[in-house]
Amino acid sequence: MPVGRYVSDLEEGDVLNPVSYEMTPFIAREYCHGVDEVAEVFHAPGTEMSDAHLAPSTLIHIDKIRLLKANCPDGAGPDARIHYEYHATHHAPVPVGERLVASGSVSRRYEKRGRAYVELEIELRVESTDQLLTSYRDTSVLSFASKETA
Amino acid sequence: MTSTRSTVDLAVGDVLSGPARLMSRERMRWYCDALETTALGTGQFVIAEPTIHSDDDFAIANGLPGIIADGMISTNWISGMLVERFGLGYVGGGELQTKFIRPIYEDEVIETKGEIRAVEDGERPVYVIDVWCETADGQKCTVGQARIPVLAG
Repeated sequence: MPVGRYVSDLEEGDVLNPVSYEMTPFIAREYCHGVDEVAEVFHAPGTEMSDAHLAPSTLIHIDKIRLLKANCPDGAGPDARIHYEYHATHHAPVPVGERLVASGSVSRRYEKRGRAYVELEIELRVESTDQLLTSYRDTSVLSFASKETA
Repeated sequence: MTSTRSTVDLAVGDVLSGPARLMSRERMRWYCDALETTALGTGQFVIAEPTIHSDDDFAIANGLPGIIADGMISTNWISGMLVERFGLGYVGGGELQTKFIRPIYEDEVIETKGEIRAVEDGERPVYVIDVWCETADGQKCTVGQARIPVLAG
C-alpha cells in the first residue's frame, strides 16, 4: 500500500515499503551509459579491479527512485522535486547478479527559506544474507519556484 | 575478489582531477532516460517524461531559466574520478557526500576536482578529500567530501 499519493505528502517518520529486485548487468551498464562511467568493472566481470562484475556506487540513488515510485505512485506532487544532497557510505561492493532489497524512511522534513526539504535514509542489502552494502542519505527540495539556488 | 589498485600514496594538498566535459543537452537527457530505465529494471528502454532536466518549458514553469543538469551527473563524474584513483577502496568501503549549490546549465564546461584535506591515522588510514565540480571560470556547482580507506597492499 502506498505511503503517500505524492512525494510531497511524505512526513517525518514515514517508513517506506521496501523494494526487492535483481541487480542485472543491464541495469549496471545502462546507468554507466547515462553518466559517462567507463570503468570496466561496472561493465563486465574479470577486470583488473575485481573478478566480479560490480554495480556503480552511485546506483544507490536509483534505489531512492525505486522506493519513491513504489510508495508515492502519483509522482513528485504539485511542483518539480529537485535533488539537493547525496551522501552514500559503501560497506561492500554491490555485486551484479544478486537480488537486493532497498528500504528507507523519512528522517526529516523541514522548511528553509520558504521551501520544504525532505531527507530520506535508505539502506541497500543482499536479500539472501541481509548483508548491508550501502547506507544512503538523500535530501531533496520539494519545490523550486524561484531562480534562487537552493 | 582481487584488486591491483589497493594502495595509493597521497599527501595533504595533493590534487585529483577528471576530464573537462561539456554539459550538453544530450548528456542531460541520457541521464533522465537512464534513471527511468534502471529504476524500471525490466530490460526495456524508457524515454523519460519531460522534467526540469530535459524540457525547457517545464523548467521555466518551475522558475528556472531553462533546463539544468541533474545533480547526479556531476556526482557521478566525481565518483568516476574516485573509482579511477582509489578502485575498491572507494567502491567497497568509501563514502561520498555531495551538495548541489549552483545549477549547471546547458553547454557549460565542467571540470571535476579533488584535494586531499587530511589523512586520518588508524588501523586503516583514511583519506579525507574535498571534491567538487566547477565551471570553466571557476564557479563551484557541486561540492562535497569523500572519505576513502587505504587498502592493505
